[in-house]
Order: sequence, then structure tokens, then C-alpha cells
Amino acid sequence: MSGPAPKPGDGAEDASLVPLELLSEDSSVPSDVASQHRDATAAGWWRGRRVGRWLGRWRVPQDRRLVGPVLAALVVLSLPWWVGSYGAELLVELAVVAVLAQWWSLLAGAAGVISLSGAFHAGTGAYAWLLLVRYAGVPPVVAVMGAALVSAAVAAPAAWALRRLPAPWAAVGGLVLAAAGSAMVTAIDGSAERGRTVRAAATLGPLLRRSATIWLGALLVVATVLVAAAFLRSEAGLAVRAARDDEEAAVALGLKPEKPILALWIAGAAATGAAAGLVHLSSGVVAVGEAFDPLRWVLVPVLAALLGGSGMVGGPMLGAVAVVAAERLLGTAGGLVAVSLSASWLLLGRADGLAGLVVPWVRELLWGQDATVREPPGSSTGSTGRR
Amino acid sequence: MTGIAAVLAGAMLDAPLAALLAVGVGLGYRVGGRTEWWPGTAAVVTAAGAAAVDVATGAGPTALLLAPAAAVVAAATVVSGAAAMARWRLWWPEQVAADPVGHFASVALPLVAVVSLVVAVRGEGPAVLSSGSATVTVVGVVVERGAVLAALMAAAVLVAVGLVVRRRWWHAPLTAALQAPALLQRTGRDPRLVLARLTALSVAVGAMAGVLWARQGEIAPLDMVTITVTAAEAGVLGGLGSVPGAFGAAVVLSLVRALGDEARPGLGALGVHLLVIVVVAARRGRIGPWGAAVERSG
Repeated sequence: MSGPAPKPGDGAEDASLVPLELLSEDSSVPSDVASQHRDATAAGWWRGRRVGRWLGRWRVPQDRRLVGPVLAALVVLSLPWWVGSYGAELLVELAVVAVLAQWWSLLAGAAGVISLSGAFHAGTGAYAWLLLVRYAGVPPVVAVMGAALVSAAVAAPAAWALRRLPAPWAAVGGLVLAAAGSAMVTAIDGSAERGRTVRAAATLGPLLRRSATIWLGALLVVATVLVAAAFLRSEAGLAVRAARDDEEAAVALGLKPEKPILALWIAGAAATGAAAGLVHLSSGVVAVGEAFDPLRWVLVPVLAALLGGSGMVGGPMLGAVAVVAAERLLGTAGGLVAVSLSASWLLLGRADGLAGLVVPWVRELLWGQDATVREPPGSSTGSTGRR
Repeated sequence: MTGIAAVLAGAMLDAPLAALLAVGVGLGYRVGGRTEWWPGTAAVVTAAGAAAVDVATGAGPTALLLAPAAAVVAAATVVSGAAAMARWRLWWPEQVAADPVGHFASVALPLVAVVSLVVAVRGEGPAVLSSGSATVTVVGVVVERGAVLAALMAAAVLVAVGLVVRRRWWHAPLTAALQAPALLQRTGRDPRLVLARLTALSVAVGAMAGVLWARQGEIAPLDMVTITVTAAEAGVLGGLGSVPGAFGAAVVLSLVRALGDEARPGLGALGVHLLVIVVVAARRGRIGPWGAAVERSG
């Protein structure tokens, strides 16, 4: 609650920039200015409706904010007992898209590095998981972590090679790496296209396998969100964003963005490898086409990040929900058409995607916080859009 | 011996198509570091269109090239015109250029929308074109007449594009639009229109490559990734933005692919990818042997 209160008589345009709490608590502010402020936001409009007023009474007190996460954790822990195999598959897909979109969003939105190497990391993770389970006798669930480590280890030299290319060509270089990985597996393993079945995954039993995939997926999502939020608020995150906006100025200030970007890249590769291990733990079959599929591991997460709003924590999560829902409702091709067209329409008007529309609305609805649209951490243009 | 000769002949006939794609993608790179990825989409769209015409009329791949040779140009014109209009009116380059995500979105989203639309309309599977075109004997090797025609058309387009990009009326405003758009605007020219012209030529080249590519007998909408990777590999190996470099690299890569596949199926693709990765890892600065020469000559 700091900052100057607006002077009486200011226009609605000025009032819309002032936090809602100030307007509602400062008695010197005319009530019509406060109502103009509310009406100027989508959340304000919503709260004017009957349902909105009813929901608006339900607020989470500051000292009980752990209730939500604890309830969510309990729900996630109980999921394997009440979702069927379709539900588990859907949840795993949602988790994978959300995790991949979050990492792509961090690299692209915050660091300005466009990466299309998801299929390469996923393929590496998938075959690392297969080798660990089938030939090294590692338990399938533990091997998911092994897949993450192998993907991270392979990503470091790949980053060294890709850094030699100009930015857009380095992005396509990721696709070249995936194609090379796929060709290598096909050349070595004659039955790679038909796929290798992992019996150890099947012996887990349906409930145990469902539990493992759902819980690991949830763990991956939570870890990714926490790391993303921490990175965006850290000094390294600031350095990376400064270098994205003006590299020369950032270097002149003594900032060194290379190491954080490399760390992001490697961490993203590890998460992608773990996600690939998770998917194959769920299916029990590793085929080269699926393991290195650019549609699944690159295109869908990138669309989710673009639609949701890149460079923010909430954006890719929202985008993942939207993309998976569109794919399930309209089919893969129809869903991709719908998502790409709506993302194009959205991004023409505003840089922060779906999150820029939804997050302030939810924030005010639940906690009554300032609903003025905020500058997203990863966006230089902010909510004003590109036009 | 004849087998190897046929393989080499096939590789030489395939090379101009890959070179066309590489040139389409890297056309703007030489003058201002701009890469245009829409040619890959255009290639898929026109290839799917060619397949549809072939399936509907039973014209056959050779007829597809001969009788409606104008159709190739028409397809290229329509697709490139639409792309240029979209680039000019919708995605303003100067606004998205400074924002990597915005720039990427301006390329990726229309690309995904178009390819997904093609998949939604005609399915994910490949369109198999009719085969059995007449053959001709070239230096003792029997090859399809359609393949020879496609390679000749691709070579002609390459030469034409190579000549155009050397003209001052082409590269001077483009360089200005990419490197100093505000300056160009002060001379009364619209930088967006100049860049839309680049998009038009790039996409036209890609669209032509698509029709010629379809002649090879099979094209699936998701081949867009393969096509883009092929273009990028030839472009990187030949020197980004270099027309003769792209052609030379495409010949080398086609030979490696053909000889590798002759030794063992699947080995050709691996050889191509590894060759490109080794070149990228071993060199610094402008990539490719011709890239350095282009840089020296300014």
C-alpha cells in the first residue's frame, strides 16, 4: 500500500493505472472513479455480474494460502484411484506439454533463444530410458531420472555445436540433431520403427504404473514451475533478460548471460528427457518415430507457449491446457489449426498471450489484488501489444 | 557399375531441388541476415496441390510439368503473393524483428496453420503420385524424363534467382530495409513492402521446389520438417545466402545420401546429418566453404 493516491477529479484513464486497493480504501477518491477503474478491467466487469459478485465473496486470507497447495497435493495423490487409463494418459500428456512449453518459454521469452531441439532431447531420453531398463536392469521409474541425466549430458556438447550457427539456423539445427539421432537409431536397430516393448514396465501392474506416471508428471510440473519462478526472479534471470533486450548494453554493464542460458538449455534438456521417459513408462513401447517426433516434442509445446504467453510462469500452463483440450476435442490437425489461428489473432493484439488476459482476472477474483495488467517478466513490449 | 552410375545420376537430378529450397530460405541472409522459413510451407502446399491435381486428373507427373508448366508458375505466384501480403499487412517486420519470440511466431504460426489445414483436409498420409513416365537415356544411364525436366527447371530457376539477387535494384533497397529501415523510409520507400518482395521471391522459389518435389512420387504434409531440414543443411553447408554455394552443397549432400543408401538403407540420411554436424562443429564464423568466399568478396 504505498505510492501516491490519485487526486480527485482525475479522469478514468488516469484512474485505470492506480491499484484497486488504493481506490477502494482511500476515502478521498470519488466512488465513481473507483467504479470506472473496476469497469475498465475485465475482472471489474465480471465482478459486476451476479455470479461474479457471489464468487467475489470467496477470498483466500493471506495466512491460509497453503490450504490450496495442500488440497491440490492430496487430490494429485488420490488421482490414480479414481481416474481411468484414459484420464491418466490425458494427465501425462498435459504434464508433458506443460513442462516442455514452460522450458521453451523460459528460453525464448526470457533469454530470446529459440530452440527447436525438443525432439532431440526427447529421443535421447527415450532411448536412454530403454537402454537403462532393458539392458542395465534399472527399475523403470528410477530410469526416468536416468533419462533426464543422459539428456542433460548429451545436451551440453550439442549446445556447443549449435552456438556456432546464427540464431534462426541454430533453431533448425535442433531439428537436424533430432533427424540425425533418428537416423542413427534406425541404422543401428533394424526394428526401431516397429518399436521395442519394455516388459519391465508392463510388470509394474496397471495401478502402480498409473500412480508412478501421474505422480512423476505432477512432480515434474511442480519442479519446473518452481525453477521457472525462481529463475525469473533471480539475478541470472535479470541478466538473461537484459541481454535479450540489449546484448551490448548488458555486456557493457558486466552481465554474463552465457552461463545462465547454457544452464537453462541443459536443465530444459533434462526435463524433456524425463518427460520422454515418463511417456514411454506409460506406454511401455519405444519406437523411433514417436521418440523423435517433432510434432509431439517441438510443435505442440511451442504452440502452447506462444498461445499462453512466453516468458511467464502461468502462460505455458494455460497454453498447455488449451492445446491439449483443442487436440482432444477437434483432433490433432483441427486442434493445431484452431490453436495456431487463435494464437496468431491473440499475438497480433498483445504480446503476453492468453495469460495476459486470464491471470489478472483470476488474481483479482480470488485475492482481490490489483487487476491492472502487469508487465510480464519476459516481455519487453508488455501488454500493450505490438501494434 | 551401371548401378552406381544410376545412383549418381539420380543424386545429380535431386540436387537442384534441395538447392532451390536452400536458396528460398537463405535469400535474405546474404544482404541483411534475414532468414525466411515460409518457403518450406509453400513447398508443402504446392506439392500437396500438385498431388491433388495429379490424383484428380490422372495427368501423371510428367504431364504435370509439361502441359501445366504455367501451373507451376501460377501456383508459385498465388502462394507467394498470399505470403507477401500476409507479411506486409499482418506481420510487420520492423515490429517483430526486435522481439525473437514475435519473429518466430510470425513464421511458425502461419506455417503450422497451413500445414495442419492441409492435414485436416486430406489426411496425414502421403499422396502417392502416378508413376511410369517415359524414360530417356543420358550418358548411358536410363532416367525418368520427368526427373530430368524437374532438374532442368530447378536449375533454370536457380540461375534466374542467382542473376536477380546480383542486381542493384534488388539488393540495394533490401539491404537498406534490413539494416536501416528508418533511413529507407526517409527516402519515401516502404521497408515493409521491400521485405514483402523478399518474402514473395523466397516463397515463390519454395513453391516451385514443392511442385518439382512432388514429382518424386510421394509427399505428406508433415514432410515440411524434412523439407526445412534439407534446405537448412544445404544452406549451412554451402554458406548461408549463397546461391552457388547452396547448389554445390546440395550436390554433395545428394551424393552422400545416394551412396550411403546404396551401401545400406538408412545410412544415407545419417551420413548427410553427420556431415553437416561435423562441418558446423569444425568451422567458425560464416558456415561453409562458399560462405567464407562470399564474405571475402563482400
